[in-house]
Amino acid sequence: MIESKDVAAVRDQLARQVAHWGAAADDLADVTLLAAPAAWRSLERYLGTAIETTLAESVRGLRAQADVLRARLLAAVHERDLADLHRELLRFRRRYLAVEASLDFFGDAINTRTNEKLCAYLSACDFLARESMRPVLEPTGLRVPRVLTYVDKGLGASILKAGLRLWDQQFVSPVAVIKIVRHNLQRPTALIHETGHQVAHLTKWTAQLAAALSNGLSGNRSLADLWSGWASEIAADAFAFVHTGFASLSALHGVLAGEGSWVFRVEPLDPHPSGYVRILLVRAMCQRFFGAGPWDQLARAWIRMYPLENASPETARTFRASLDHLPKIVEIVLEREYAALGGHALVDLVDPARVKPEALLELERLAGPALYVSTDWVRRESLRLLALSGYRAATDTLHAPETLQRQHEWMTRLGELAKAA
Amino acid sequence: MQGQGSAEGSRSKPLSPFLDSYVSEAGPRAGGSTSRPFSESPFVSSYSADEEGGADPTSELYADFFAEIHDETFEDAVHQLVDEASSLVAAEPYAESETDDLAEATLREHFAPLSTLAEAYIAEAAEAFGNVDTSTLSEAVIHEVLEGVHMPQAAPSFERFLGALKKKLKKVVSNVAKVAKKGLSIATGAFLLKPLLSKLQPLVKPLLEKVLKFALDKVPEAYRPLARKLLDSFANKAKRAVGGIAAAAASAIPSAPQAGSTPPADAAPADAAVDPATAPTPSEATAPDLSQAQDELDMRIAEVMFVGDSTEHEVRIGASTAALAARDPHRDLDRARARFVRQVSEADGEDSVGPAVESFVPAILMAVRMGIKVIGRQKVVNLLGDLIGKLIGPLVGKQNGPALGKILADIGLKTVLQAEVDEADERAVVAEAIASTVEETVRRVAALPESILENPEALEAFAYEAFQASAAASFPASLVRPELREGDLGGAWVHLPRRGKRLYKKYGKVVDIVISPATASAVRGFDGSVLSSFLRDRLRIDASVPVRARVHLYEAIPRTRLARIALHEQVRGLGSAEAEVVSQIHPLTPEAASLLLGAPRMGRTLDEDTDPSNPSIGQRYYYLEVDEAPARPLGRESHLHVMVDVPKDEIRVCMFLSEVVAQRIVVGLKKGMPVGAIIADLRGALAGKGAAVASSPGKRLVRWLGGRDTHRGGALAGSVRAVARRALKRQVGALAVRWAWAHLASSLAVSTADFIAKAEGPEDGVRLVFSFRLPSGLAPLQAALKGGGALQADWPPRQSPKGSLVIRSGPEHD
Repeated sequence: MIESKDVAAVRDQLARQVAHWGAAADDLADVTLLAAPAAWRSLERYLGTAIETTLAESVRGLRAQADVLRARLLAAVHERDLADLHRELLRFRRRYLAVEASLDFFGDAINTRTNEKLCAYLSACDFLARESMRPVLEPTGLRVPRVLTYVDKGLGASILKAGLRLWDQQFVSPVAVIKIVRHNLQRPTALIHETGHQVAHLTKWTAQLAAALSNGLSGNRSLADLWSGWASEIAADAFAFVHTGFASLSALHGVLAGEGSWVFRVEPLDPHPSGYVRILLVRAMCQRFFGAGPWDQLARAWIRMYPLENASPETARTFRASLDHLPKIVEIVLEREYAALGGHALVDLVDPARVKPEALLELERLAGPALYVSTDWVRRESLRLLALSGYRAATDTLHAPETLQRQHEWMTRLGELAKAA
Repeated sequence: MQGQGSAEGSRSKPLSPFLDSYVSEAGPRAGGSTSRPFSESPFVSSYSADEEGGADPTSELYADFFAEIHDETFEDAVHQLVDEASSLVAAEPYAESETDDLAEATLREHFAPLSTLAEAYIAEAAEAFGNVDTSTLSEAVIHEVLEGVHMPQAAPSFERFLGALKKKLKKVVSNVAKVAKKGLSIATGAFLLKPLLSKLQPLVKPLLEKVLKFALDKVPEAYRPLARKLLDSFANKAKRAVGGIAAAAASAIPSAPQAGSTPPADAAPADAAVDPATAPTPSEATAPDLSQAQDELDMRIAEVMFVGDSTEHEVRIGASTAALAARDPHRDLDRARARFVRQVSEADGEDSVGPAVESFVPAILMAVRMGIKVIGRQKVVNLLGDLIGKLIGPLVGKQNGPALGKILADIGLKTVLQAEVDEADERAVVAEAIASTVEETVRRVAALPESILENPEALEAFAYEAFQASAAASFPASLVRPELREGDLGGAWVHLPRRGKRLYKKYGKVVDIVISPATASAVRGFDGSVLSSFLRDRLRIDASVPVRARVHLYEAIPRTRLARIALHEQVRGLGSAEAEVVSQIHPLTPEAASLLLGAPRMGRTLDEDTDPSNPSIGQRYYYLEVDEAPARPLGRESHLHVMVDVPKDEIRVCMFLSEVVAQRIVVGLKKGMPVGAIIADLRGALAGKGAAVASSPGKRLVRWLGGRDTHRGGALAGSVRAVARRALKRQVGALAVRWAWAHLASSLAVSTADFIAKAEGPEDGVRLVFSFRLPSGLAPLQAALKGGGALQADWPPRQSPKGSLVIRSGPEHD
């Protein structure tokens, strides 16, 4: 059968596009080119292997699809075959862009390890993140995922959870990827908030916490709905609190202390609690487990700087009702037992008493200067060192530069200990 | 598998150890001890010279000099150079090359800069000492002069070697000074250090050449006869010069077991009861003892110092080693094994396997240590060949071979390679398992005493039992009769790597275990170390809670070094030949196998002097892969050792506390814990080592300085004097440790601030060094050790002698 000129033209154009996109897929074959060799080498060996393997699999799948396109082009006889091919090609393009997005994401993340100092620091963050998840995941029989941290601009941290589908929807992320922002490099307690998300996801705690909050506040339906909708962020805040104590509140304050309109904002579908009550919730956690302390002063200042009179009447009513229920909310979040947590309460798995200021200072006294240099202390008490550094930064602003320098030193030491095999 | 023929005529149809075979009426198993390692020394027995005529003071001086320039740091540095060299040529394109030319060229190029740096360092040191009169030199001056010599910057392994060379030079100079002070001019010429040290420069290249040869497994087989020639030649010359030194020189040099050598006349009694069915304590080295490198160097240094010139011997050594060094001593056996494997893989039945066995057995006998006494006995060789041929016949051929191959591949090769295998691979693994069985059988038979070898009926019975045990060690449990099984872990042994030279065996199954705190406290490793200490100190894992781990199992074959296993294993935590990585590979003793795997027969007994850097064929090891462990072990493990320093007339006990333990003690001290509680904590942390010192101290736990340690690798085993010497060392070690604890108890209170200060530094760990002086000095002990007389009436002392304690940061060698 002789093809019409139009159909021939379509065939030619499709052939050109198949060739173009196939070649583009082939160009992605060597995933190690996504990041500098030194950056790859700076990763803990099996972290790097896990990432490389998944990305390579993703590209292999894409290239296999390109081969199918080529075969279909050769086999296309009728115009309807070309129409099918065109649809396949468009699907392939979308997949290519998704795979490229995944590769770029990981490549950019790895490439932030641009120099030795930053490599060590981020390696320390990888370690801290993993250690924070261990006490909750291991008793429940769950494997602790590897973590890749990277640094980027912005106000707050974020996480691509391990196990979530990547952009191409074919593969899951083999590791948790956590972004920490530059201004928090010196006080990375936000890292622990993000691992809280990972833990909540893996244990499926969020749903149970939401149900518990809904039931616990059932006397006020709108309040119950509001707070249960915030369960995922509350879980993460609670996780950061039990690991780092007041340091988590201080860091949270640094992120949330913005415009009043933002502090009072209540968005129906936003999983983030309003800043106003969020700060006071974590403060309530401090009060519950530590008694009186610098968190009270922080709360006083918070309330003073953001008077409820400046919020809408309805928002103010909701917030006042919330404040009355904060002790109950703290009990629900921290002290109630959940099947998702292996029948334990969060405080059973991670005891916040270990990060009470007195306990942190006692740790410093007992360990002495070795606390910041010993391969034993730095590794074993890395999370408490994070809590202590954050506590000092928040309460001893006069010596802030020394505190930051000291934090930098112990984190560098930790990173060197934790670095590539 | 199909069973064999009738039960009649066990001589023609021996019972197979494999399932579905008839039960035979094999001879009763002999009880008693397994064969003990024989000592082989190319040199005169250590103290026979003393027995015969008493020591000549000059000879004593030479022997002391030779002994005292020995340095463990230097030995470690050489080991690490060998491991580094091995890892450089481990992969393509070296691994599969028929010759080592490319590897040799690569290594010579690699070490050339080190040779230049070392020679330059010696030259500069010689210049620094100038024409100083050695009789006026003090330790402090020697130290100061050497500190002033520029230490070049280089790669870490090169720097380590140069650092060790500096220590060696320090020892050489200080011992030369000692000799000079005694007023003995035993060398030609005066004691001017510059010319003396300059003569050490030409010794660097031969040393590095030796390193290269070790790395390529090309240390000449005939090294020992060569050493004998060297000694004889030196002895003659030295005798002319100083009279009687040769005997003393020989007496100071230790023996070392070598593959293929004959046992000396004073070996273990020929009629000692043996049980070939019991796994013997592995004693045949997988590779030449690396300590030879330092011994040879020290001998040359001594020659330079005492005789004045080693050139003549350099030439002789060079010519002799060149002639011998072309061959890797394992190559012939490799070829024979490969041929056997090929023939067995292609065999189509029992009848075709006989000729393969007939040519393989003699090749094995040529290679094994005891083989030489068997190879001349044709009847023994024939019996062995015949028996083995009949036993392995049913395993090959079209009927059973494929099924067997599939089983072995599924639970061995596939698991290890994490990949599918083809039919050729399946045939190969069967043939390899058969080859291993044959080799192990022949080794066990070769170790039998003369009385058994001379008795055909007894020999057949023992050979059959040896085959049973070897088959059980080489084949998976599912194929072996239950009563013979080593364990039922579900795996099979695989030779690795699969391309190039085979370097070790790995068990196909990685076993998941949970290590309880009690188990961790009970499992012992090298030199009495306890698994819980390793987990705590190196992996920073809390062993007071159960620890999940995956156990990887390995077995040593010819050429195995632990560094090679560590390098080739692509397992988390391994993958490198660096010392800290290698140190994670532990001996799988029967106790460890029992506690960790519930399979005691998988383990192999460890000799107290087993040197991790010199494994024995058949020795088994394990590596624990633990998720929460760091990528590399951290710091050093807590340990203790006793040093009997005869030249300084003091006994020292060195306790090194790991960083974890040191910080724990700091917390205890700051909390005001009672001294007794702290000491109890420390004793617990060092429990394994302390117990080892008191029960079976190897040369690394109780070190005797001033008279080379003769207990290396089983020297003089079987000798009554050797037993007495061990008992004395054990007693001295146990007493010294007891004194140390007592001293610590009385001095800890006043040393608290010092301890805390040392622990707060950046270095890992804290060292406690106790020094004791006996009222009568160490001379009586030294004499007793040499077998020259009874100990004095005041031994052991009723009270602890006066001592001192010095606390230092870090794990530096004492």
